Amino acid sequence: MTTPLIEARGLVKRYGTTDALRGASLRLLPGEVLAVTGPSGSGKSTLLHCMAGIVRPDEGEVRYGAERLDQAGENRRSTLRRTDFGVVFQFGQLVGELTALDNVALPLLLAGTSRAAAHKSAGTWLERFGVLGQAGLRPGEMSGGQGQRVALARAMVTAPKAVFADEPTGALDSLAGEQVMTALVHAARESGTSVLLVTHDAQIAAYADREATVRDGVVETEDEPAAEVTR
Amino acid sequence: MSALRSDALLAWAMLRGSPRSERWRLALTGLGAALGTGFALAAAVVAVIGTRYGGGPPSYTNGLLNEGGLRPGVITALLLLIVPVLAFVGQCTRIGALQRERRFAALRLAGATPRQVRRIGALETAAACGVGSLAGLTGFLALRLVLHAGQQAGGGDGGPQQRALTWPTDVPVPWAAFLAVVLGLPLLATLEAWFTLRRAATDPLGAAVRRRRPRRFRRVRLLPGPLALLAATGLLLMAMSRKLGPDTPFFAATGLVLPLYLFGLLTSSAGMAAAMGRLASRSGRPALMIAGKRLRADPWAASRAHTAVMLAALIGVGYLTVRRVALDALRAEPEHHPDLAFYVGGYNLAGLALLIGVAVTISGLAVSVAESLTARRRTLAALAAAGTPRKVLRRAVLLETALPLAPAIVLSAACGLAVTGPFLVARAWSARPLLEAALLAGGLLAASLLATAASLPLLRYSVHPAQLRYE
Repeated sequence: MTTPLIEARGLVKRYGTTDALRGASLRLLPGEVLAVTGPSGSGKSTLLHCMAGIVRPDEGEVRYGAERLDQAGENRRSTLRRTDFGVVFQFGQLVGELTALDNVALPLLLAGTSRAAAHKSAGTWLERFGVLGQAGLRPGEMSGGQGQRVALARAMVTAPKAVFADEPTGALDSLAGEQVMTALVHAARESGTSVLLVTHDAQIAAYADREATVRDGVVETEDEPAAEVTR
Repeated sequence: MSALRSDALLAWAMLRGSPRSERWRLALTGLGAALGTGFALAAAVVAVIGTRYGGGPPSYTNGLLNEGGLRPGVITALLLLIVPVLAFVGQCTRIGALQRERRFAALRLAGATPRQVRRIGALETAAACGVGSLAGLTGFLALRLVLHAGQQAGGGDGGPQQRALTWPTDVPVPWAAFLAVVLGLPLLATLEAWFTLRRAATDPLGAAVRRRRPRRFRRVRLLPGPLALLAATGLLLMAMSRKLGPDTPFFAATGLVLPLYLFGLLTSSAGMAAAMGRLASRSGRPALMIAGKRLRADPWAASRAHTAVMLAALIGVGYLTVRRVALDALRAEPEHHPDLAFYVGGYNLAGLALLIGVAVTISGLAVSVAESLTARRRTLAALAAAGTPRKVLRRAVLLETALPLAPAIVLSAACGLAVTGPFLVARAWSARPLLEAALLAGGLLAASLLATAASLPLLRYSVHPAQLRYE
């Protein structure tokens, strides 16, 4: 049995009187693309936030290798987001004041990489996602699809172990959505990065190797892992 | 050091790409720093008069500068002017707060630690304050040159041997003072920014969530304010009825009463806004109802700016009372006080300082209203889209200022009159400057409404239907 890259067990998360998660468990295996689907308000985004270390669960545990993310401090979880994890949301994750190049270089700059080296890496990833021509533009000056591809480049620039994508195509038309998903899956498979993809769109979920369904705060179904994940 | 350099580079990159509201914030922050620098440098000049750095014995037309015993008062007044300036700079940090919060959240998502985000935010403020401080220094030196040239040309008021100057432009200011002011003020503002950003920098999800949970208004938090006001009034009445003993140190009692009043007013402003909001929201008039519901929903929104106006009312009325009592005493015995003009000049100077403080405070209120109109544009646009006439919205915005401020100013003015009570009793004068106090309170309210009205043109932009289309 493959050792999971990240494993969530019995996660409980409450927002006020609302139970977002009620004992959800999920495994993300190395190099796989895992789609988490479910109706609106089922808790799939909260599950992603907990597994990415963005929020801490109230109960349960999140294991990343030997490390307990649910017990890690704010600084450690922030460091993981700029070294081991990449995050892509539906909107809002790019800094509106920075150019696409600076946005992609951001995790490297925050880690203390020199500006020249950070920009060089950022340029390479912008080119891989086909948006090098937009390097000097700010998010407000780009189309939705271009913005999401810049966000993907930023998520991949640190060569992360896992990318967490929460409805990455939710604000795009179907063609742009397909382009973004193709680019994400292709880049992830090339670099062996795991992808946890939250979506309510069956067409987008079809890009994944496995699928898990969340309903009422628990993982209702989860596909068994294939014997070998295609890379 | 490399982390600081990296953060500084990021702050600079964001500054270059910042939207108009952000540039306004930074420009106004710089203006505040320039004003503060001017006041601090003026205080430094007065501080060196008569010392070994200050040349010969002082000889100025204004007696306050000649008297060694009075100069500390002038220095204190000038330094106290920095307080409303710092409050103004603090108010300016609210401009574009929503956008900044999203920016910080996006940085957090990209892996910035809360400390890094606060450092980047504080560096932005440091840069704006540094530039403002340098501009203030340049302005101060230029003004000093102009005044000095004017005094040289005019020849002063005395003879050629001993000319009395109006302004102390003959005093060389030590470079250490220049450095302390130009570096110290931005440092102070940066520390303030570091402190105020403690909440803004914590949530990495702020970028992706559409709406934040509104802050719950807890009634229990309203208790300390009225309790402090009651305690202060009780203490004051005891002191005035001499129940604390025949040799009651009235001024010591006042020393306790004033801080209690200040604390009481500071913690009561949101409560008053909530209470007025509750009353107004029951009204059938649309503007009153909209203003009332807004005040009830977020009574803390303008409390910082309103608190500054309340303090201005308290200190202003206190000043008017002391001025009237002291000058009446001097005028009652003209034979013992031939230098009445000297004292009048002194009080006028203090009044001028107070007026400058009030002007800075009212500017802070205007900034606060403008920020609020920009931050609430989606709500305002939704109201307009639902058919609320713009005239009604304009009235509602004015009422949002008037409803909580009118009783707050009256209460503060009453506290100002009360706190000088022992002072009046001690000298057996019963006449309080009620008319002046009423005029001051009315003037402050009118100025506050004018400041609000000055921000109303922004409403046209805020209610545009396009505000509803984009996130």
